[in-house]
Amino acid sequence: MVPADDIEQLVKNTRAETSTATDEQILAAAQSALESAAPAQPNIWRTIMKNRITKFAAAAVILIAVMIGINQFGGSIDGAGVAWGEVLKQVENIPALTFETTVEITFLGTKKFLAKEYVYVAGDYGTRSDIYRNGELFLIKFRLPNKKVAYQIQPKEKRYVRFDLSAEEAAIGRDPDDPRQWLEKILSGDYIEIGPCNINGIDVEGIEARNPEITGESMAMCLWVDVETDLPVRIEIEGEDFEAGKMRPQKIIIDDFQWDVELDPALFEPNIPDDYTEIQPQTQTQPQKEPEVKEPPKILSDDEKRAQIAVKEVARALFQACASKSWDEFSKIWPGLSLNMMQKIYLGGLEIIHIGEPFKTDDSATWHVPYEIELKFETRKRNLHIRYDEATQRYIPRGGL
Amino acid sequence: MTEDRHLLKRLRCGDSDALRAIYEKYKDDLLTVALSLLSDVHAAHDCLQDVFVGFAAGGNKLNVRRNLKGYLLSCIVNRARDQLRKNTVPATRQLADSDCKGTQAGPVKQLIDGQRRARVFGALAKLPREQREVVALHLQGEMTFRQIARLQGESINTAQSRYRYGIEKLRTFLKKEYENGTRR
Repeated sequence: MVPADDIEQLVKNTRAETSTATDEQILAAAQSALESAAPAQPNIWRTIMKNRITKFAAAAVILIAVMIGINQFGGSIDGAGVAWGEVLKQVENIPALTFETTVEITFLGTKKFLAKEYVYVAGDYGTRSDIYRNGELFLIKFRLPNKKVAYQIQPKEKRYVRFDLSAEEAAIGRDPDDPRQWLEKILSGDYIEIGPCNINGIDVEGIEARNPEITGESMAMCLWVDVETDLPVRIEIEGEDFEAGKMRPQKIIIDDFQWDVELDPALFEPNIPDDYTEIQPQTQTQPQKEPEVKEPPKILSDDEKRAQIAVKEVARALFQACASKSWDEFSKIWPGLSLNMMQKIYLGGLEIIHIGEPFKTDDSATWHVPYEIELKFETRKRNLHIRYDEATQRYIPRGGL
Repeated sequence: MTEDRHLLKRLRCGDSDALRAIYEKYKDDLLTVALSLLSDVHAAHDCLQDVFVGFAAGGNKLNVRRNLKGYLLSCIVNRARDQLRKNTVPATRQLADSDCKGTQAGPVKQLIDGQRRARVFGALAKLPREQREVVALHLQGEMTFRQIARLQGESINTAQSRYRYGIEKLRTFLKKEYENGTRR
């Protein structure tokens, strides 16, 4: 009888080898494919690592939080794969990580807006994110709680904004987006198992979140976790969301997680060049042209002129809540509007560029407040609509965000 | 693994030397598994080429962060399944000794090695596809049963059972080969 081990050894040692001619043929075809492949953004990463200006901060970790919260609900789905209850512990104890966020918005069926964010998180230093729009670096954010300061640097414009963090803000330590800050808010989620998969050679198991509070009604969120390490590998959010006045297909992918990495402290040094101009928060270097309105502003009465100040303050408070990712505060200012996770990613950490003078176009209770804000992936310039609410006797936003 | 990560980063930047390095590193393992799965050297070469062309065309979309070999083997298996499904592989053709290039050795040893290889690949060809995959991926691709089970969408127990059945059948098929080998 032939011993099984010998058979195994025999099969193991039976190898095939390619010929030189085969090698040349395959490599020629592969290289041709490589050359005709879609233009990569290879230098982005290198640029980031080389450029001392470009480095770090935290951001869309919200999504990680979501999955962490989801994973609070229990152990392994099938008892043999991902131990879902362990994912939180794994992530919670990791002091430093990096990841990438890719955002894709489809306009008019084909035209796509692509934004990419490289995020570095290190408990000892803070967070940093480098944000690219269509391949061009346009914003670098630092949040350095130890130094009680945050920066937003715009390399193209050669300008930056410095924000002093209050003792309370700095004491939080982690970025407000950090998943560990979100746990309590996402425990109400539900999910379904979507089975095993292999993502780029990694065996993963996935779940699909079924919590409208997280993804909204028209979005689907999937989380894929490495079955061997119980660490997240990829998060996908796909669906439609309201953007620039219309429902548009949107997709966010968070991946390339590097867990428990050793990060160079130099990455967290803003190193702002001398020729960069510091601008004050909520101001601008150039007068902004306010958004055009279809109807001319009406002439305000004395009472309305007094109300104008209060309306502007409501708008400012709303955007400041977004800037500081104070979503509880946001809900107080705009009751009834429940932001989903996608919207929080877009609005969170925004920079207020300009808030114009509120105006009215008729005798109705609606005010229009021109604003310009710098979001993570775009500059938004619109009018916020605010109405006086008789029931609560205060001004409440009603649209235009 | 670190080397693979470095190569992949270079590949994402369009570095053809990185592509060549990856190819050189894994081509024989991949071809061996492809040949075991397809039992036809031309089909195996086509499979290897398709996988590398697809891999190269992935460009910056590639996001293989760990176990590049496992990723490429998965691609080989999927491509081989496609070829078998589409019946583009000649049915159970007897492998010729010259089908797979041997190692650098003298002409007599080459001849013996060639005959043995042809018989082993021939024996593998007689196994049901699922068993063939497990045996080839585990022994020649060095994948774990867990990885193989994921790839096949089955439990680890099922993968291990398939492996045991496959080895049992191979033992029967190759008994003669083994006995000839021990006599030599």
